[in-house]
Amino acid sequence: MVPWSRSRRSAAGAAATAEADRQSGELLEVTGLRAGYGGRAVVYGVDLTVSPGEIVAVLGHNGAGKTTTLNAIFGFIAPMSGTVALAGSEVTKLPPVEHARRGMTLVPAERFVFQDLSVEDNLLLAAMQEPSAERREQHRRRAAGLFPVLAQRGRQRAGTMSGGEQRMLSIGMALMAGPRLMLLDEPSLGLSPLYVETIMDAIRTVADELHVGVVMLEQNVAQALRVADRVYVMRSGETIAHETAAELRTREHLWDLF
Amino acid sequence: MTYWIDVLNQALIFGVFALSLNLLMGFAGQVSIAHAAFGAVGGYLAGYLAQEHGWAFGPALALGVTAALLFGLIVSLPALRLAGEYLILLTLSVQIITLVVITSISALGGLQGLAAIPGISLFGSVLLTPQDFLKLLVPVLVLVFLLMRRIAGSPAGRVLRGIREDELATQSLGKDVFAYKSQVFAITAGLAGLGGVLLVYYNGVVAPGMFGFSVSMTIIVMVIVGGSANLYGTLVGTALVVASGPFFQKVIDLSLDKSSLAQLLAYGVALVVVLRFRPQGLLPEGVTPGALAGRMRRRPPAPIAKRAERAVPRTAHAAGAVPARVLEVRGLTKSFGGIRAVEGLDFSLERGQITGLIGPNGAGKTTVFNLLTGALRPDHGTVLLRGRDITGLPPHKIARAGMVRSFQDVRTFAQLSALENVMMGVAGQRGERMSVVLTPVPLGPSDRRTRQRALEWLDFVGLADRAHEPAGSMAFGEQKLVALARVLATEAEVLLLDEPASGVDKRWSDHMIEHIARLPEAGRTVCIVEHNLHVVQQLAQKICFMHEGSVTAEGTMAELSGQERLQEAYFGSMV
Amino acid sequence: MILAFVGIDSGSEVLQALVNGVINGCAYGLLAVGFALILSVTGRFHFAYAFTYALAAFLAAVLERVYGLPLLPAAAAGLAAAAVVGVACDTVVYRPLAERAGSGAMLAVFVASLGIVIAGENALSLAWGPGPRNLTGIGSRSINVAGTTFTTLDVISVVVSVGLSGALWLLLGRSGFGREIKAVRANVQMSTAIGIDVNRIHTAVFIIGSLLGGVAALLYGLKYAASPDMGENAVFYALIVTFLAVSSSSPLRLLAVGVGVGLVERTAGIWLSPQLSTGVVFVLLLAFLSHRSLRLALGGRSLSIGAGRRWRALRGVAG
Repeated sequence: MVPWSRSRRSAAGAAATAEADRQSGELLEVTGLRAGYGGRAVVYGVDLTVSPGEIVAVLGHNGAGKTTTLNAIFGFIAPMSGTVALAGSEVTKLPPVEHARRGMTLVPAERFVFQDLSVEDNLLLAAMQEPSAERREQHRRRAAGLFPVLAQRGRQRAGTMSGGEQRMLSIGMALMAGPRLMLLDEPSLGLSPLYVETIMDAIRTVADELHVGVVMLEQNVAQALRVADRVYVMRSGETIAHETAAELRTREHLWDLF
Repeated sequence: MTYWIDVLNQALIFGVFALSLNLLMGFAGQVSIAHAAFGAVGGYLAGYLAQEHGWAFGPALALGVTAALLFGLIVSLPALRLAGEYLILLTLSVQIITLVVITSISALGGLQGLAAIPGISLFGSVLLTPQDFLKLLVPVLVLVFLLMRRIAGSPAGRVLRGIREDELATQSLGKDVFAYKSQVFAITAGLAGLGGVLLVYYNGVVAPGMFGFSVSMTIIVMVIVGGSANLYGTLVGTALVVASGPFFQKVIDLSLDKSSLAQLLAYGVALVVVLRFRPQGLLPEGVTPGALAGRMRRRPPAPIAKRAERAVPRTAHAAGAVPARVLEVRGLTKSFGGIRAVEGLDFSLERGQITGLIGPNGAGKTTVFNLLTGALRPDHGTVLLRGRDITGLPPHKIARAGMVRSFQDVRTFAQLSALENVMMGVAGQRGERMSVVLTPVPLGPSDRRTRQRALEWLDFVGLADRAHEPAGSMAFGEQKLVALARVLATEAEVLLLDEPASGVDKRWSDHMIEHIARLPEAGRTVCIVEHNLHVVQQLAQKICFMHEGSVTAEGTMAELSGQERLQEAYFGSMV
Repeated sequence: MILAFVGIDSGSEVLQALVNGVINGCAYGLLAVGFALILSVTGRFHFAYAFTYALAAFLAAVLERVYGLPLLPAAAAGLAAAAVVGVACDTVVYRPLAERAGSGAMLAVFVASLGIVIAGENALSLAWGPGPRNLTGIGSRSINVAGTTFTTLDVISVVVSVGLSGALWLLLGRSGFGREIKAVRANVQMSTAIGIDVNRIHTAVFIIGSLLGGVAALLYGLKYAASPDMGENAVFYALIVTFLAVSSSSPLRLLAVGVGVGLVERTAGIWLSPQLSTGVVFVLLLAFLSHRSLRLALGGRSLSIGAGRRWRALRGVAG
């Protein structure tokens, strides 16, 4: 193996596990985020917080700026203004590699696995940020525990699995790095109701048992509200509502939020 | 002295090559490495006919140019649907294969070529010395320059630039993009053939090395270094490139052989450096004497009436028995490799109404627009526009039949001004037909009318004072307004607007809503696809709910939001 | 008698054509393996491959003949130069160009790489003259088998081509580094998301690709001769094999398609002149491009809509 092309967390960084975060308060703190593409802003001043073990859902119509927000948090696009802090330390201007190193993972809405590679290879690659072989094995067992299909189909090319299975793989991959914060872009996209429920339950389990903070963008409002703790609703690049999931569930009309 | 006139003659001849390539590459955006090959066709044919069959200059020239033109037409056929790297590869293969074929024909002299091309006798006198040739070459270059300038500056030239910027958007405004591409390939190939004939007669020989890959590259360097889409820049670029010969020979005192090598080295380096640091070239597009003079002459914009009072330009539509249902769609179906994107869709638009098309992500809304406007061909179903069956017609014909669409990602022509963007929409411009441009018909008056009309639409969206700014430098919200003015200028009755209020903040989306709301006044029928239900509610009189490929409900927002199954479809079931 | 009717003189002529086809085809395959690796992983149309190819062999030949170096160090120097220039193309020219205007940039990269070829070839010619020089240092004996003739150098060439393709196949399939290369090839966004340094992978791939091309050039130089413009022809073979086999295929498949192209070319050479049979390859490329154009025409007339692609991504993922 050629070590020079790898970017790994230092041993010291690895010590900052999810358990340690439980004491520190806000895992993710986003303030006044302004971001967009090619010089034009699409997101105009978004605030967002996530605590360890909490699932925060971000809802809103297509084109409201949810994915842009997520991309800016993870560093795929450089924020135009505002700050992003992970467990107290600022990560705003850092490239995605640095976010991955510090325990953030992002699962995109589309093309979220390496389709041409085997399930095994996908999981191994996703474990890049975990230096300890023992912990990697731990993560893998956990992923297989949540989604048995991952253990059974190791050699299968990811692109030949069904959509729901690929989505399970993507969540499994996110776990392989032992993250503190998971950013999920529309995990239910294109899935049948059964798979959606399974995925959502798995996300809840991960948050509860591993104290991982989750930011979940969703179009499937009902399912998102089932597992989320708090909800932000975005429209036209701004947050128009911020409530607990319980409060939103009791709302009469969701239509005026979209 | 003769030496310098010889250098000048070479510049004049290569100017013909470079100017024509600029029209193809700089204006129309078609990158071609085959330009020297077209020259080879013209030059070899004329040279062969002159040497082996004693043809006079005139007929040999005519046939050479015609052959090159036809060859360009043939090459354009596969080139029509290729773009970017694949187009380059196609032209590169054409360049290589042409020379391979030519050198394998023994009658053409194989690798040695033909060496006894007779001189040109024009109007009684024979052209022998470089000074003699000057008398022929200068007028030729001037004529070619004027022709290129006319085409480039005409409405047809504007369409070529539109093709360069965004082929799809150009086609959806009603322009037959493929026809334009074929025409520009043919014309520029013919002119390259002219250059080839001149080169052959000038040198008295024709050999494969005169038209090889490095010659094609040299012409490209002339165009790119001088300035893409700037004919004056091409003259500068050609002069610089041709002058490099004397520079290396006289100034740096290299031998002839070494000088050619050094020149090619310099060209390669120049190409990389220009692309890396100044891709627009020495004289960028629009930096011409004419344009600069125009900018100085430009009067301050006329005072614009306050927005509320601004009159809506009325659109006269064909009178006669026209059904109230302007657009009728029945059983529209489209699959992509086994997945049914649109399934038996029934849909209609009432005259003078704004209809909204909503639905969860992946329901197939944009696909419907693509099917309606001809960007995709439906598997089954019928589309009737004003009672006329337009199913399966290509986009430009549907646009001309009276239905146009705007794009979610706006697709303005970035390097064209806002006004030129809107002018592109105006239908029925005489000057857009290449056949008209090639005849000495004055284009001024009709272009002025187009300009006036376009200005009115630009004024309608409130951007008349920004008419001459390049669209690409405007804010996204402003570009959306320019795009709206552009589709309005087509005077098409049916407008399909794809997410007109997305990607902008509330202030801009309010602007858009304001303008779109006035469109029925102007005699238009509108359909909008939107994810922002707030916007839809403000604009649409009728809303169609689309789910899994077909329309499952119709009504007002209030009616639809009350239905539980729609709520389930949109938000998922709240158990 | 049938053979004579078709214009073939004897069975051994066919056999010889097949043998030559395999020998040449292996070279084409090796060329394509290097080029396709660069294209599929970085997305760059690295036409300057033609220059790094020629550089390796021509520089080695110059070092050997003009400066008296033995073959091995000369070849090593040539390969090193090819690798360095290959990486320089990416870091100095392609990357800055690609970072600019997204959609038009790939075109600029291609045209720039054409500029690099022209500049580089002529720089070499200026420095050491355009004349071809052949590489020496590997004794080559003739071998006769079943009426066909080839040399020990041919055998070495085939073995090296197959060996290197196989080695790359193993690297990609069995090592962590190879896995990362495949990841970048499959999905750049996900690669970045999991922490792969995509730029370093690009550099590595340019090195490997340039080395593979350089080896192919050295073999050619040993058999025939090396000249500054030898790359222009070679890159076309690399292109056509890459397209026919699909750029992201395994090295072994690219090698096989290369052999196929070699066979087609040599078999055509039974009837056509050598020049024209080379032209067959370009005609193949032309046919490929026209077929692609035709496919786009019949596929529903969409001008870069991408709707079908997005649809498959969305709906095709339905559980």
